[in-house]
Amino acid sequence: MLNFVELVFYTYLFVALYMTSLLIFIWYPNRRRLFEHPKGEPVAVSIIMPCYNESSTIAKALDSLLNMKYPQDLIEIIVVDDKSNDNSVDIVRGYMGRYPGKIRLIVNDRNSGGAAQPTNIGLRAAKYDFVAVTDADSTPEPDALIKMIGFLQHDPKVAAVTCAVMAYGSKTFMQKIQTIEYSIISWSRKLLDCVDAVYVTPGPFALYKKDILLRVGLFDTKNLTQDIEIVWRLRSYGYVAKMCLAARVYSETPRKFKQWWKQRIRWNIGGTQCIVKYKSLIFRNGMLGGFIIPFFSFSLFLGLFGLGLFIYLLIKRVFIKFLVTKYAIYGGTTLLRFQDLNIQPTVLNFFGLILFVWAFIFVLIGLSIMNMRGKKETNIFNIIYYLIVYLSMYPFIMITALYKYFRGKYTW
Amino acid sequence: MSKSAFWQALIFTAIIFSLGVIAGFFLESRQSETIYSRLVNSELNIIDEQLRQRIISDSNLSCSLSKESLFLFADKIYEEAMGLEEIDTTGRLGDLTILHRRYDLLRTLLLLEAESLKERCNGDFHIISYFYSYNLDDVETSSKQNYFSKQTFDLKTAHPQDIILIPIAIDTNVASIDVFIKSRKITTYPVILIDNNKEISEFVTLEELEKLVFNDTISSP
Repeated sequence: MLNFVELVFYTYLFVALYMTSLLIFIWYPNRRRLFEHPKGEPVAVSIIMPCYNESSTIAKALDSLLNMKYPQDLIEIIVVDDKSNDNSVDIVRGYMGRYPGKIRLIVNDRNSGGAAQPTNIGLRAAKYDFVAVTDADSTPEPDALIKMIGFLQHDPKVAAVTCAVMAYGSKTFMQKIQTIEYSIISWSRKLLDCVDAVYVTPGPFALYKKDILLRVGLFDTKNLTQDIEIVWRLRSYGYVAKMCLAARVYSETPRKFKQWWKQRIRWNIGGTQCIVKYKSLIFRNGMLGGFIIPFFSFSLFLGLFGLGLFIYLLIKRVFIKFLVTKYAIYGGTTLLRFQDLNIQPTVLNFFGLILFVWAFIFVLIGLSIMNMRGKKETNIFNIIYYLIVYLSMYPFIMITALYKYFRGKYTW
Repeated sequence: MSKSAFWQALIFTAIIFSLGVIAGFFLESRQSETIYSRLVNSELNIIDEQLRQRIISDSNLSCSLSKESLFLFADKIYEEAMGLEEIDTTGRLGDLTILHRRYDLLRTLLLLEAESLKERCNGDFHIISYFYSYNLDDVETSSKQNYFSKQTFDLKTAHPQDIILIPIAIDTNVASIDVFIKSRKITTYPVILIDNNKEISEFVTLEELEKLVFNDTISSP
């Protein structure tokens, strides 16, 4: 008969199957419209680029903005340096000399410890009604802006537009796996857009209406994921965010595990801050309370509960194996019998296999849609690693993030 | 908008899940049928054995032939029960408790018969009965049970013709087994009974157990 642990496993399988099925069911009827975007009229846009020690990437980021297929006289670039220790400011000044009147530089007196405050400074300084926010290590494709602007022009409720954030660089194995992850996230985010559930406008490149941002109070400087928080806040005010899959921005990804871990901890702390801040809206306020907040909360709960159960079972199993081996050595009995190697497949194994195949198909579809199939980063081994090992690390990130959150010791 | 996708996905998942559960039950029922048929065969065998015992006692058939028959049967039951244990630890959807009960009843009957044969023939074999808990969650007792199970198995493997091994679960909620346990004054588990007169509930090595079974040179710890 099934015991508690097995029932929990079945529940997890059900939830995982439901989530992947949901995205597939959203995708299929919308599959021909995923890359559609309302035609936009070029209007003046201020592009805010917060910067902190970005000397290795900022030139490339500025070049990408200066090469946008968008009337350059309608673009204003504002770099807000958050008291960098490197020569980022010198690089920007060099560009200001080459492009007089095109780029403005604001240098913070002291480091704010995050991207929100310099972004807010740039927003207040922006001349135009439409503002784009971009990271200093990101390079939007030349047509990104023109493809995105139409979303803001055609619907007064749309306050923000995000695009497909793709991973830049695949030198290390971690970066290769993130290439898969970013592609799948972008595709999934577009699918969520189809049900009006975009919950983040990631920092690499996003477009906003300035007057609405000012009205709702700009980016939250205390939140570690200000790009998630701002969308939740906009939604709480009745606005929505859209996703333009046809527009892409390439963003630097962490090369090593340690950097990646730190980044993901920050993301998870920020997510937790958002849940706590907007907990009163759960099951209220349309898709924010009806789907986004419950989805975040439920994911957090499932991750933590699953990890707790996994650790408990692992410790118990190891302890039993240890005792059994100890007794067997003491008693001079057989250490391992054939019966101990349980090779009978269970119903649970079949379900697990079905789920894995389903998730694998989901990733393949996602990679095809994002035109990432056949690339060396997205080989079968990397996809399997992504599904089995990489995603399994998330509960560990969650618990570490939660620990840091409750201790109150977290920084950007 | 594709908000109906939420319901569509839920229905789809429920269908897939239900199909999976039905397929699981189907696969298991095929296994269970095999087990059940083996159990029915075993029951037939034991009735056959009882009849033969009666015939043996009525016709004064030799003890060696009676012992041979008993050992064959007991070994077969032991192996079948091991197979059942293996299946039961694989997260099944169905309930095997009823089958466990029948096996335990069968083994209790077998134990009584073995004791009777040993007494009647002044048997040159030893009866090792091992009492354990079926519903166990305690790590230490579970490890101990695992050790006792291995130890008795090893002993039986080393002396196949001298030992009859009968493991019985004490907590399958069968009235006759409960009475049997009380009649033997078994209060702790896991416990190994040697010829119904030596009780081993603490750790002994395989060598010590062997000595306890085959001679009286060491005392039970």
